[in-house]
Amino acid sequence: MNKNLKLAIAAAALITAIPIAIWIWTLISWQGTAKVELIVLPVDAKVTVNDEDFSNKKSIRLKPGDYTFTVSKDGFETDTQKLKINNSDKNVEFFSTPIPVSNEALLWAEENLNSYHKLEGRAGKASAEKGRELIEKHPIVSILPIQEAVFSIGYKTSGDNESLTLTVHAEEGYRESALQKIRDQGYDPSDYKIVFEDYRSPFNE
Amino acid sequence: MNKRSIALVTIGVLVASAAIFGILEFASYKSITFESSEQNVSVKISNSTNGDEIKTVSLDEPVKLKEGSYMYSVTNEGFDNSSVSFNVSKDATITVKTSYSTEKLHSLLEEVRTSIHEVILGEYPFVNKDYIFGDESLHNKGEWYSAKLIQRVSGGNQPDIYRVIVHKENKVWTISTQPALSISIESNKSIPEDIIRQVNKPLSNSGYDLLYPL
Repeated sequence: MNKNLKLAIAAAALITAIPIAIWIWTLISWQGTAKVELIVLPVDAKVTVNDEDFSNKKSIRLKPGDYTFTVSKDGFETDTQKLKINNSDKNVEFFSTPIPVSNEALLWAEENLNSYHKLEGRAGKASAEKGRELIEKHPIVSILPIQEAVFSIGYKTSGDNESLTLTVHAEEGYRESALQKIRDQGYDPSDYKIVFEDYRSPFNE
Repeated sequence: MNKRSIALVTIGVLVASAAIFGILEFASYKSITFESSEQNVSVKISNSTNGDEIKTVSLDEPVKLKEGSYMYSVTNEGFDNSSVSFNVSKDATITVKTSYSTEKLHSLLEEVRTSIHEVILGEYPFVNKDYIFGDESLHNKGEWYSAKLIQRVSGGNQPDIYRVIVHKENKVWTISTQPALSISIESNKSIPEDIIRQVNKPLSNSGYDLLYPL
């Protein structure tokens, strides 16, 4: 084999190996991260995550943890949201539509109503899907929140909806009534962690 | 084929059928053994449909039962003799849950009530002034205690009701979980679930009578 041919083969191997190496490196670096799709309107809004700029990106990769997303653009109110990425998350959608406040922004919003409707539809679908999953895991959610004159019963979940905690606000003397309401609905308080808010147990050390 | 042959074939078929039926019938019986941590326990086996007694057996004494549904109950005095359903589909060993009868647990409660109160009041002295012990119960073989601490209130006010569970281990009573308005099974995995469900029930009428004596 002549020298030129060898050089050509070596060059071709290198050219092929580099992208493969980059691809393998990317896959390795993606391990333990979730893909977060950034769905914002206007699409050229500035997007920062924990103060790191990710503007004009359609998606980013984040490790499990707590993040603060900020979406801003001249003429629009800055939108700040907190998002928790759990170990079990693989694909997450982040939605943001900062409110237009300037005349220019309002005009832009009017001209782009279709885009808003599409985004709302997609956000609504994602939200409905999450709601269905939550009710499947915790049927009691379908009857919550409960609002009565002297108590209210709500809930909070862990980020992955695995754990559910009932939250009860009740006036003095009506905490047992709130528990009875749960029983009356066909649920056993024993099956839930229940936190009574704005209240301190006399048995707390 | 002559008459003799026909007769022989017929007899052969009948014998073979009887043998097959006999084998199938025998195979449908399974060997069931009852075991328990308690000694000298007798178990009554009943028909699940009509409750008729089939047999009373001792522990570790295998009994042959046909595939199907049955009930068992402990017959020893002082034990809870509620019926427990079980299914027979293969040879099996059934662990008999032995807990004391309600009457025996009530009687034991009178013996240990003072000691348990001392444990609770030792940890939470204010209970003596601010709460009433209500719906007190012992569970299983008397090693678990549950009660509702009913807040003393005046007039027609509604009390807060705190549930407390105490466990006896190595002859020492210990509070298993801080008294709470509601006890969660998930947060108290070391406490038998049925005891938690029992204590989380609403205050009984007799409990309210303690708070609002007639």
